[in-house]
Amino acid sequence: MNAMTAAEALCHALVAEGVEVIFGHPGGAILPFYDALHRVGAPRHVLMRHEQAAAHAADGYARATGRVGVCVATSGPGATNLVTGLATAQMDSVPLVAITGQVPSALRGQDAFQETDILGITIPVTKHGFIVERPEDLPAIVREAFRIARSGRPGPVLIDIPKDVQNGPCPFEPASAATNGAGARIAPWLPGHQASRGASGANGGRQGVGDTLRDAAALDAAAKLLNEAERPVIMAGRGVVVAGMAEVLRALAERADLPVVTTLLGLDAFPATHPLALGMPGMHGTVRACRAIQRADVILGLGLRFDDRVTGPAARFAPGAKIIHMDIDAAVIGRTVKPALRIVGDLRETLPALLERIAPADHAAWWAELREWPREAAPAASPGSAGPTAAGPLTAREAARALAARIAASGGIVATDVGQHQMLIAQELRDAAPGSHLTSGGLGTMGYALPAALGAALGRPDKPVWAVAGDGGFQMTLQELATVVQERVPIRIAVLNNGYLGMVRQWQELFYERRYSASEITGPDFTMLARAYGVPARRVRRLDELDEALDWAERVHGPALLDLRLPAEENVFPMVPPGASLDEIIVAPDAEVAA
Amino acid sequence: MTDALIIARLRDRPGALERALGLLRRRALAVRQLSVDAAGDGVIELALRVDETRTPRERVRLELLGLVDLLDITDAAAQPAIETRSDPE
Repeated sequence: MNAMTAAEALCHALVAEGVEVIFGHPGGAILPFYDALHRVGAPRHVLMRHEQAAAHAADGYARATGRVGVCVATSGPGATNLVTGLATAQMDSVPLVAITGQVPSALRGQDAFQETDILGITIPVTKHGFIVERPEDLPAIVREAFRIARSGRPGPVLIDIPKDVQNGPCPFEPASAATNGAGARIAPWLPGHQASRGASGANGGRQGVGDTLRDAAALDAAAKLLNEAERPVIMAGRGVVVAGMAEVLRALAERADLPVVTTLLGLDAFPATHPLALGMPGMHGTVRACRAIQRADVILGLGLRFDDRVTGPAARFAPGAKIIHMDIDAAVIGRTVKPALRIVGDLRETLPALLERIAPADHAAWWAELREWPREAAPAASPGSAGPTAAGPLTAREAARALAARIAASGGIVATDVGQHQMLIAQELRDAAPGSHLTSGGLGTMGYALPAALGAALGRPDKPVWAVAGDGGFQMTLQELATVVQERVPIRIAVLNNGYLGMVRQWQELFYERRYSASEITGPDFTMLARAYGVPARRVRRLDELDEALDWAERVHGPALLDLRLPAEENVFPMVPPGASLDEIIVAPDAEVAA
Repeated sequence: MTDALIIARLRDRPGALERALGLLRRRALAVRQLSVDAAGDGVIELALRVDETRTPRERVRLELLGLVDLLDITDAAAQPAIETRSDPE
């Protein structure tokens, strides 16, 4: 057993967990760790320009690789800057470990310089948190933090370490094998696993039935509902991706001719070009997906929360459907919509077990009805317009369509920000492999795309990675261009630049009588700015310039940026107005789908 | 009005109680009565009385089960341990 400081032990403990790269920013209270990092030489540290971006980079790394992402910050403002990134990861079930320095133990509680109660501050936005009070406790806490982050429903875990604890002696025996591999994404131990024991079964089911019998009975009941359904729909969320169950989902859908709706975070769970794919549901979903849900008699929900952007008002969601909800987190089942059947457990176990019980089926009559509604979010030409012409101005729709096609063709990864471009990319994305579509679905965090793409590119150097952002969100974390250059990360960046906070402006146009309050936004010349950082850049104004510019961006060795200048007042449709049910989806201005 | 009494035992670690109470607030789980006791051996015992017409006990149980520091939950009888009655006069 080696004697070392806790800070050195932390480096070794991270390596033992299989961590290859961490994203952080140093400061006074975390300096012992940075000094140890210098001496130990591992893991690789990426110096981010802001701690929020460090958390997003760790998030992008985690989503793209299936591993636990790690971010580091000092105490006080460094730690509080992580909060948005932690909340983003918590909402989307992304496994992170965040390490923060803390003022020395003797100064805690005295409002010391750069002191903040980061454990308390992050409680609502983390899965769990630790403060290390004795140096010798640190290795065990690191192991537990990683286990909690990746087990059950993944999430972020904070480890707060006072400066004196980092400097204290710590016996440490390096582990013989790394465990941060893809195969270790979900550990057998589940926090709250008691939830699955006694939570499966019919709503309000009997207590005291044996676990195995209960689970089998619930699966039998689910299979019976699906086998007898006339208008079934599968709704797949990120849980399918996290569990690595995309292929089983496909087998299930194909065996019983089941239409598949994929949520924003589940887009990479099922290929959009598959004949059984209906597209995305909810606020900017497809008409076919929304109508299918509202007409369904049975809905199988897999690894999703049925959040408000997907359902609209829960009381008016899928009024004729019996809902079977399968998720690893018992608490999300019944929180919004009330299921007829709840099946709590790891989809790696429950989904294959359900597949075994599903009989081949043919839902020709249901498909005939479904095909009456458009599957594409938008046809090549927007309704009511003459459509884009090659020499005409570039539109956001055409830009997103071209970007999505490039990304699909290259088998690449895309990280998007939040807003109009996010929805357009989601609508246009085709055949996204699991882990290839990274976006802040739950929290809706602007500024996510660039650092997340950076993290993804470091985790998956074999894949081309694009960051797609609007001009508003890009300005929230664009300082990370410096990190991209310093670390020589070959990401491509597309800024969909319309001079507005686009989705805010769209809502103001549609719901606030065009009062554009604080949504017009100026920005720098992004091509000049990028070049100032050392990133080659081009501007595109016309549709006929786009293909050549995309070719150029893909040819550049190292990072490249495209500033895509777009009309100010282009809107994203279809759209379910806020507070409306999915029946009230608007295809385009002045055109509503009859209920 | 039907009351339910739920006893949750937690590991006594930094933030454990705060995390449990924050969860109740964040999920809007209305608690009529709350008591916290140090049960010894590094364990905190949290007793929650909830009005089932507003806060179903099963919802409370499912939410608490997500706490990493949770040791166990007991769904105690809804009836009070000591019955009181008004003056026979």
